[in-house]
Amino acid sequence: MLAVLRHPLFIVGLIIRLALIIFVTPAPVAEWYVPFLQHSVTEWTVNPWELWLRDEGIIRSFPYGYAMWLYFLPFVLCASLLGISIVGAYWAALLVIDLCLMILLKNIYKGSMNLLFIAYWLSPIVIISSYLLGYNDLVPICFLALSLYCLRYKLWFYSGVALVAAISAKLSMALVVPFFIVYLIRNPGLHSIIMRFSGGVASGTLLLILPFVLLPSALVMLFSNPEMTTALRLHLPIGDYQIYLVPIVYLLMLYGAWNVKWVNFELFHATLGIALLLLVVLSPSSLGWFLWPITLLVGYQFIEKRVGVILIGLFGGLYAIRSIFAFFPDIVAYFPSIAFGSTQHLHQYALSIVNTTIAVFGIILSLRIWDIMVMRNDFFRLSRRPFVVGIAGDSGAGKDTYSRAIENIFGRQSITHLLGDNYHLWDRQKTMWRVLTHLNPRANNLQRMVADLRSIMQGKIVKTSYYDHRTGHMRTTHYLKKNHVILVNGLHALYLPSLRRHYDVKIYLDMDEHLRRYFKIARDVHERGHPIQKVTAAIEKRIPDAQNFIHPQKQYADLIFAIQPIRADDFVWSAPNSDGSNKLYRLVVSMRGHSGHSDLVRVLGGLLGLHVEVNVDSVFEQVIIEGAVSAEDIAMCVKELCPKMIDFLDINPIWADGVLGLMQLSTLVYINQSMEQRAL
Amino acid sequence: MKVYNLDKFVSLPDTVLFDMDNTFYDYHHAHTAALTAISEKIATSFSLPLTDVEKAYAEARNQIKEQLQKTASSHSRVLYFQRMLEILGLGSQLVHALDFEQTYWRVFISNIVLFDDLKLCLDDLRLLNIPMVLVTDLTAQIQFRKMIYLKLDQYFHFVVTSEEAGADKPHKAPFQLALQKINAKKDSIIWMIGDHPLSDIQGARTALSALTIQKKQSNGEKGSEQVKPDADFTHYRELRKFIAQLKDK
Repeated sequence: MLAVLRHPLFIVGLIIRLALIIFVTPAPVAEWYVPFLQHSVTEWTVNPWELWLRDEGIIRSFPYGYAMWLYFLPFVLCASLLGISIVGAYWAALLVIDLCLMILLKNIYKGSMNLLFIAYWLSPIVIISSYLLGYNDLVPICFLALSLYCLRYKLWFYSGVALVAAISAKLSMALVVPFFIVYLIRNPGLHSIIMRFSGGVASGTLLLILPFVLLPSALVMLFSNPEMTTALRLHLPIGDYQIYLVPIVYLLMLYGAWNVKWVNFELFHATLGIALLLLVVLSPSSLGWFLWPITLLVGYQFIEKRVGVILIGLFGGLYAIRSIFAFFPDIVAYFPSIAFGSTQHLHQYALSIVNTTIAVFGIILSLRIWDIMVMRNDFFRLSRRPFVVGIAGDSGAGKDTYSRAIENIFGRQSITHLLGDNYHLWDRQKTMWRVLTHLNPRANNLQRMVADLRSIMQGKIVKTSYYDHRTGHMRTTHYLKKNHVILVNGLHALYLPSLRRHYDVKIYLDMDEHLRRYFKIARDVHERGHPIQKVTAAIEKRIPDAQNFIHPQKQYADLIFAIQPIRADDFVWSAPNSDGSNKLYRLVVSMRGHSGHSDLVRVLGGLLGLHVEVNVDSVFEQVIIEGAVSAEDIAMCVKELCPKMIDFLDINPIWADGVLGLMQLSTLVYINQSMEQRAL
Repeated sequence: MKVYNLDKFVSLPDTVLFDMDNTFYDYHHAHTAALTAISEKIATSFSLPLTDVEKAYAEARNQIKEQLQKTASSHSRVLYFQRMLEILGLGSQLVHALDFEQTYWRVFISNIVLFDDLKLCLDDLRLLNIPMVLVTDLTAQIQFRKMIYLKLDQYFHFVVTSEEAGADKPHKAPFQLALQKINAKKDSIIWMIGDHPLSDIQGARTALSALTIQKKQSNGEKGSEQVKPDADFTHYRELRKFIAQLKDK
C-alpha cells in the first residue's frame, strides 16, 4: 500500500486532483451539490429534498437518491461539527470514492499498477469530469463497480445491494439492470444464486429505493432533472412522429448480450460497458456520463495494453477538447469568425465537429472493444456450439458413475444426457434377449440414437424412450434438448462412424476385468440378491459380444481411462463390498495426440506428491497415477492446469475424491485442449 | 547489487551453488498460506479455537527442532503435526497427522511465487554453460516436488539435500557433497547464492572458500561483519546485469 502511495504516477494524479480542487470550484459543486448538502444538515431530517424545496432551493440541485446523500452525509456532518468548509468535505468524499473505485478496479482486473494508474488514475475523463467540471458520477459508478466486484468474487447478496445503491445514487444506473438479468439467466451455472442476488436487490430496494419513492418532494426533484430525456434527443423525424435512435442502439446491445448465449463475467462486463459507451457517445449527454463506461475502458486497456492505452488516450483527448467548450463557453470569442459570420455560429460548428468526432470515435472504439473483448474471448469462441462427449465401455465399466461425476462439475443445468440404454429394442422380459445380448448392436436402435443426437444439436426438442432399470420396461416420457454439454453414454457410443463424427471428445472406460467382475457381482449378488451362479453365467455369456462389439471401440477413443487394482487381493469376489472404500487403485489415462503430460506430471507429482509415470508412443500419451487424492486437491489442480475451464463449470462444482476425481481432472485437461483446438 | 569485494569477482564462476527457500521465492508467504489452511482445517475438524491450534503448532515445532537439532528430519511437518496433536491432548492421531502434512505441502507449493527474473537469470547461467547445483536443507522428497512443480529441475545438474548429506547447512557436508557431485577442481571459482547469512554465506565460505552472494529479503537477516557476503542483491535483474558485465570483461 505504501509503495502505491509513493508511486510517481499516483503522486502525479494526486497533485493534478489537488491542484484542481484548490484552484477550481466548478459550478455544479458550488451552486448545486454543496448548498444542498450543507442545507441537509441544518435540521435533523430524513427528507433533505423536502427541506431544500421548502426553503426554495434550486430544484435541479440534487436529483439523486438516498445512496448519494448518505454517502456524502458523514463527510458533511464532520465538517459541519468541526466548522470546516463543506466544499472541502465534498472534495474529500469525492477523493475517497475515487480511490475506492481504483482499488475495486485493481481487484477486478488484477493487472499491473502502472497500467492501472495510466488507465484510471491519470484518465482525463475521470479527472476532468469530477474535478474540473464537478460532476459526481464517480459515486454511482463506484457502487456499480462494487456490484461487479461482488459478482466476480461470488458475493451475490452484496452485489445485489450494491447494484441498488448505484441506482439509488443515480437513477440512470437502472439502465444496467437488464444486462445483469441477461447475465444471470444466460449463465446456467448462476441459476442457483439468483435468489441470493435477488435477496440483495430486495434488501437494497427496501432500504434505499422504497423510502425515496414515498417522498413526493424527492420525486419532484428527480423528475425535474433535464437529463431524464437526454437519451431521446437523438431522433429521426418521420412524418408526425420521431424514431429515437439511442434506445434502439441500447436495445440492440441488449439483444447482442442475450445472443451471446452462454455469458461469463468478462462477456457480461464487455457487453454492458459497450452499451454504456454507445449510449454516452450517441446522446448529447452530460459530460459526467462519460464516466459510466470507465470500468470497461480500464478493462479494455488491461487486455489490449499499449494499443488500448493509445486509443483510450485519444478518446480522453477528444473528451478534454469537448470539455473546454463546457468549461470556457466563451472560448470561441478568441478565434476569428470570418467564415462563420458570428461567434455563436462558430461555437455551434466547433461543438458539432467535436461531438461528431467523439461519436464516430466512440462507435469505432465500441466495435474494436466488441472484437477484442467479445469475439476474441476464449469463452465466447468455445461456447458457440455444444460440446459433445461420447462415452463408451463395457457393462459395469463405470459409465454412469463417470457421467454423474462429469455432471457434478458442469452442473445438471448445463448437461444433456443421451443414454444408450434408452435405445435397447426390447423390454427386458422379451424373449429376444435369449438369443441376443444388450452388447450386440442389433439389439439396439443405433440409427435412432444418431438421429436424436443430430436433432438435439440442431436445437430441436427430442422425445425419447426411457429405459427403467428397475422394471426393465421402456417408458416414453423423456424429453431431451440442446445444452452446453451433451454426454452420449452407452455401450455403443463409439460404435458408429456417424455417431463418432459428432463428438468433440471420445472417451472409453476400460476397467480392469477382475475389478469389473468384482463390482458387478457386488452389485447384483450382494445388493440385488441374484444368485452368484446366474450372475457369473451372464457375465460369461456376454464375453464374446463384448470382445466383438465393445472392446474394439477403444481404438476410436481420444481418452481412455483404465482403472486397475494395485493389489488384486483387495478384490475377492466371494466377499465383495460394492463401495470399494479403503481399496487401492491405479488410474491409467491414455490421451490421443495430447501434449499435456508434462503439466499433469508437474502438478500431480510436484504439487500433490502422487506417483506418476509417463509412457509416450506415436498415438497415445499414457499417464499412470497412483496415490491418495482428495476433492480439494482436484479443485486446486484444475485451477492450476485449466483455469479457463472454470467459467464453464457449475458455480459450486462437486469434485470427487480418489480415482474419480483424477478422471474429472484428466477429462477437463483434455477438453480444455480440445476446445482450444476447436476455437482455432 | 552491492559488491563488497570487487577484486574477487574477476571472471565468471565455474560452478554456481544455489539455495532454494527464500532464495527462489518468499518462503514466509507460502508458509503463512499453508499454515492458515491447516489451522482452519484443524480448527474445523476438532472444533478448536484457531489460536490454540497455532500456539500448539509453534510449541510442537520448537520441541521437534530442539530434539532433532540441525538435521533434515527437524523440518518434518508430519512430526510437527503429530506432536501438535499430542500437545492438544488428542494423542498421535496418525491419519490426521499425515492428512495435515499433505495439505500443508499442497497449499504451500501452490502458493509459491518465484521471484521476478529468477528463471531469466538461471537461463543466463545455463547459456553460459555454467553448471548449477542446488544445495538445500529439508527432506529430498519435498524439495524435489517443489523443483518439479516450479519447473526448476531442468536447470540444475545436481541437487543436494540435507537429508542426503546427513546435516543441515552450515555444516560442511552438504557443500562438500555438492563439490563431489560436480567433480570440481580445487582451484575452480564457486559462487554460493543464498539468503541466509549463517547457513549459506558462512557455510559455503568455510566449507568451500566460495564467493558468496546474498539474496536480500526485506524481512530476512542481514549478514553481520563475520558473515558478510562478498556481494548482495535484492532483485535478480541486478544479478543478471552483474553476470553480463563479468561476461563482457
